[in-house]
Amino acid sequence: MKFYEDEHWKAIFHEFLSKLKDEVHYESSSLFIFESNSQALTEVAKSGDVIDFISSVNFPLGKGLSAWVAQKGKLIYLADIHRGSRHGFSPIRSYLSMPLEINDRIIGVLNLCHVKPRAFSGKRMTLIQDLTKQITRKIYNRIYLNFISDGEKSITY
Amino acid sequence: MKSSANQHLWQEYKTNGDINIRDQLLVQYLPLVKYVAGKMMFSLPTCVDYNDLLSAGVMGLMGGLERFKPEQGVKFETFVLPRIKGAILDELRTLDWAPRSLRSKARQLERASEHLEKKLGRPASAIEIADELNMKIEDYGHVVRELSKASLLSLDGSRVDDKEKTTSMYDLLENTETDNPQRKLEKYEMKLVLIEAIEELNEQEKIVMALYYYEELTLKEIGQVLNITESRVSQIHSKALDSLKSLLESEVIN
Repeated sequence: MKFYEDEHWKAIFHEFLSKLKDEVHYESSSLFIFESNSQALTEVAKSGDVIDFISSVNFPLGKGLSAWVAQKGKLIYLADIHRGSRHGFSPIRSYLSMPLEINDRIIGVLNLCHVKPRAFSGKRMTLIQDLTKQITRKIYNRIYLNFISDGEKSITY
Repeated sequence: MKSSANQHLWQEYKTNGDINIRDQLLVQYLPLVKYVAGKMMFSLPTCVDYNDLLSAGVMGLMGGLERFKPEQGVKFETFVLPRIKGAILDELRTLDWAPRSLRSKARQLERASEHLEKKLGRPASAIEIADELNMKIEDYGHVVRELSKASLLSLDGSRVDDKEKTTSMYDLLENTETDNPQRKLEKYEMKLVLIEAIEELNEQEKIVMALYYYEELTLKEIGQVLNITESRVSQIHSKALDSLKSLLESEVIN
């Protein structure tokens, strides 16, 4: 079983997204973890209607813009968008796709959407980055722990 | 007797330039116009009006009457027939919205197709015709598409089906207010083909096309995603459209 499938971790992710919601009042969010073994991005937690741009388009690390963000390690923040009014899409005005990066290593992606423009600008962005750093560190430690215990096992046996 | 009367008329007309005599000559030679127009009508689409051809032919005839010189010893009929035909052709060209170069390509295509059909004993494929004409398949597709735009049908016309049943063109008009299953299927298939084609584009083009058409982001917003200028996004968009066009054309033709 993957560590992120564990109830304990699910609760951590949920708490993280809730805390973020309290602070920045987003409409929807999703958290992805990058698995180095499968080289793919997996959604581990979400809140609200999950919105991943161009979700049917393939990239090396999976489908959707989140996979591209993970691949490039590049933050995308669209502060005032007018997305797809023609097709009755959700009226998102702010979109953030942030890679979770630590020690030059991408370990996941966080997506946030809001119906108001510039919802994640200024201090809110700093806040999001601070909170995201904490969860990133936590996930990284867990992955690193896995790595060490796998190494120990291979030495022992 | 008739011939001498004719000679007299011509002489009078050429000496005095009398309009009444010109009109007599005009009436006398009018059947020539009907003959040429009727013969040409056979090879023209039904949307062409016979009366338009007659009018043009009459203009050709009038020009012939003015320019004809009886003393040169040529029969008027011989002199005027090419003029009538030329005047009708000129009129047809003004009615035709396809450029002459396109019509010429259409004839080349037709000849190549006929030649190959005789040679192969079966209808030739698009690729074979393009090869025969030393054309790229994309260019061939382009000519065929342009030609289809240049063909007109009249709603007043009718068509006869395999069972020899005549149907008015009005009856064949689509009712746009009802669901059309074939169109739905075509749209669905087109979407699949389009998705596959977009996947063939390079990464940057793929992102631009997908964000522009799937998410309806503006070029400026896409520029923010890719960290490039709006005009650069526009360039990539145009290039991607060209690539998609080629990809889809080859898909459709094959």
